[in-house]
Amino acid sequence: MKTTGNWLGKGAIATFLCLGSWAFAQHDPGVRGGIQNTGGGLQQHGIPIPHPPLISPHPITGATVNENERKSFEEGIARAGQLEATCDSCNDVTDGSPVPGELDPLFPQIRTNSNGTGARHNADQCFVCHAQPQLGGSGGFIVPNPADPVPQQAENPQFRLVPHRFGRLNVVPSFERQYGPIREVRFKYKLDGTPDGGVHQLWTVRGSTNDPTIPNCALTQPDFEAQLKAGNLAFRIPLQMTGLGLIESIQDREILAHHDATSTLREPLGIAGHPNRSGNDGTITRFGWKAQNKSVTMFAGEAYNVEMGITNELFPTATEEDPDCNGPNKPLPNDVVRTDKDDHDNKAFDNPIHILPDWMQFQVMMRFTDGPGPDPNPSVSAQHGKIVFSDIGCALCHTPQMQTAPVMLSPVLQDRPVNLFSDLLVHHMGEKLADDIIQGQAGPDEFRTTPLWGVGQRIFFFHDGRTADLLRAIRDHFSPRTTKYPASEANAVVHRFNELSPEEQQAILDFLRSL
Amino acid sequence: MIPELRLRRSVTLVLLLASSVAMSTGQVSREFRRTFAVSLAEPVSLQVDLLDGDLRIAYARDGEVAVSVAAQNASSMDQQSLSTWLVMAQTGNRLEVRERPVVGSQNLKLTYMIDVPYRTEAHTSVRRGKQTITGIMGPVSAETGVGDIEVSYISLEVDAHAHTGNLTFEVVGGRIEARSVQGAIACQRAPQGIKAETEDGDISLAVVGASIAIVKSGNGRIDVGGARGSLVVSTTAGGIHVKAVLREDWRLSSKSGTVHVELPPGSSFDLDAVSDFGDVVIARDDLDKPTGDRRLKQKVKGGGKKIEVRTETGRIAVS
Repeated sequence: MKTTGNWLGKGAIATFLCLGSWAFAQHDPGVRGGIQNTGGGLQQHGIPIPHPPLISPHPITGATVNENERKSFEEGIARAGQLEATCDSCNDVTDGSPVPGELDPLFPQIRTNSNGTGARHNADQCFVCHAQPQLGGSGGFIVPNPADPVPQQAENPQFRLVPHRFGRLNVVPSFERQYGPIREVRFKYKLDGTPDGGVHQLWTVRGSTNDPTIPNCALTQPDFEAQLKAGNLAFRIPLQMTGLGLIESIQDREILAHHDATSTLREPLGIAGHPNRSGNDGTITRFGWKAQNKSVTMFAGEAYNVEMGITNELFPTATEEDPDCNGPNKPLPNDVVRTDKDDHDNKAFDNPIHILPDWMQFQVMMRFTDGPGPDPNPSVSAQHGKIVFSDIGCALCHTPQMQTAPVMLSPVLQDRPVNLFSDLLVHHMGEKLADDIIQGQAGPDEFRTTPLWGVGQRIFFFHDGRTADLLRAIRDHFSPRTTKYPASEANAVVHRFNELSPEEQQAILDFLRSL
Repeated sequence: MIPELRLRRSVTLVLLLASSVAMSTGQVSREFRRTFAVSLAEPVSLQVDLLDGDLRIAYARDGEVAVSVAAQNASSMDQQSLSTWLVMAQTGNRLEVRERPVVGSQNLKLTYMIDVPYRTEAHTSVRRGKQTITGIMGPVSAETGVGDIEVSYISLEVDAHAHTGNLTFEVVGGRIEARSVQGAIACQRAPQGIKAETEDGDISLAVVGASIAIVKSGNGRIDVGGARGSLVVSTTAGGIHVKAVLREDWRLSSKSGTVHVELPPGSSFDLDAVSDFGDVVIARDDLDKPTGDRRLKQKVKGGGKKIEVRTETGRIAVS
């Protein structure tokens, strides 16, 4: 009896401890506002996805965008929202025009209002991959049946919408899951074993019902499943575009000064970090998962070509040149500065705003989009989490704030704080995150410190979108040294995180979801 | 459904920010600003009635409406006055902004700026002042007594009326109705077309769908480039110039102005051009010379869409 009683007592204590532990179990509170109330979740309720916010007035001087900047911003939204046809003259409505009758006339899903989609592409519309929590955000979900009266639940647009839009005959690879992240792929190695690293576009235009110029297109997709089995795929998910003009406005000296200022704190924790630099002028590059792109202009030109297959001045040749799939009348490059004033079918090109090509207007729009806004009323736990976040060393890489250049042509951008939560440097993250892709001076396991502003409303984390759980995302920063890769520079900080009480860990999660 | 959004329907944030800046001239500029939280779930309906001052309504961000008023020459006014001139009322996503007549405010130069979500419909009336409305879904209806109206980047219909003032439209997704008694009308990139009427003033259209442009009196000219639908164009003394690919029928008429039609080489069309007393000048190889009665009626390249040109005393030129 005594023994039994002891067992019961011990069992009760163990149960209490388990329940107690459960009661305090830290967890990711999820997308702030809920997935159903952000991005494509709103479409289900018949509500257009909110538009990118215009940059807020300068916090000190009160300077705002001037009228030209504002118009460029608005034109940029119209261009970035365009749904691209494939042939150069088969769009349904005038280039760049709003499409009345759509849920959002500036983000049409049914009728095309531009053209130039490449024979191979990842998407046919900028915002289709940048719609969480608003247009211009990171990758999210979109309603897959926008033409139907009863909208289905929003889902990964790469699962049904994009690959089959306008009858296109694409096989959806297994890594594009219905409620998974939007993924594009890079191949790590070529068939001969030499490094590849390039993007291999997911989709082709084969089967397009709205392009009569390519009836004989017979392109096939790469064998993604075989590459997946061979472990040769590196995934990338879309980053948010909001606030990029502010990040671009940070001088190199500001980045380096922050790095220098934390050296004594970083060193004992094994945190190094270094800039990725342009091979041309040696300045710090800062956009993309490996900080491989120098500017929003470079990012825009590359995205138009790589993601949508649209050739432009920066990337003037097509990723797929098969004439059967490009049609006989598709100019190359396709989206270029428009200067033909004598065009009988003119598009009002004597207006300077109309002269710029889509990709360039798109970069102007990015420049004047505000950074993601934090929760204006953070919880007590989130406020505490901000302190703990800094105390354990997260802020040594996720630098809370930098300042833009003191003098810029646009007063709204100059000399203002940017709450980006990134040092804009690349760090070794070890084997767990390594993708074996080398971009500039960013090695196989190195990644840029992802800016955390806006993380509160992101769905997926890391370059490959491997998790939607912030807690796992924090813990996956840890990776021991292996024969192939160094240890993650975040190990010591993750160790500190793991030693925190559940309440303090929860506070950090709450803080991150408030950003 | 959308619980967080519902909570935000109520007015939650009222911010009064008054500032004064001494100007070198001794004049004082004051600014009043108030912010209203609105829901994403429904469009914002904005009604504005102003007596005197410039008005700008523009997209800035979703979830809030911010009303600012800047006053120059405000030395005699205290900061509170600005807020009392305006009546601002919110019911859900419906906002009303109305200017109250105030004695002694005539010398002030007022500028009203209203930042709104994209999904906003606006109905505005300004007795004297310029209106600028940009970047919203619409529809928009705007009326001014004296002052210009500029409307751009509107996704749905626009209806604008100025007694004395110019009307300018750029990138409008829906149909436009534009009327001015004394003023010019300009429109670019309106795929659903425009109906533009002015008693006296120029009309300029570029990249427009099916459109009607009428100058009822005076010397106002009409210039059309990149027409993508049918055209009905008429002036009294002013000239008409249309340069576009012919996609639908055109009817162009002027009492005494020159009518100039420019078409790309190789176009097929039915031309019916009559000038009662003026010349008909042809500068194309595919058209015959006009007959003696100043009329040219011809099918070119087998015929196609119709171009009907009429003038009493003006000249007709086809190139």
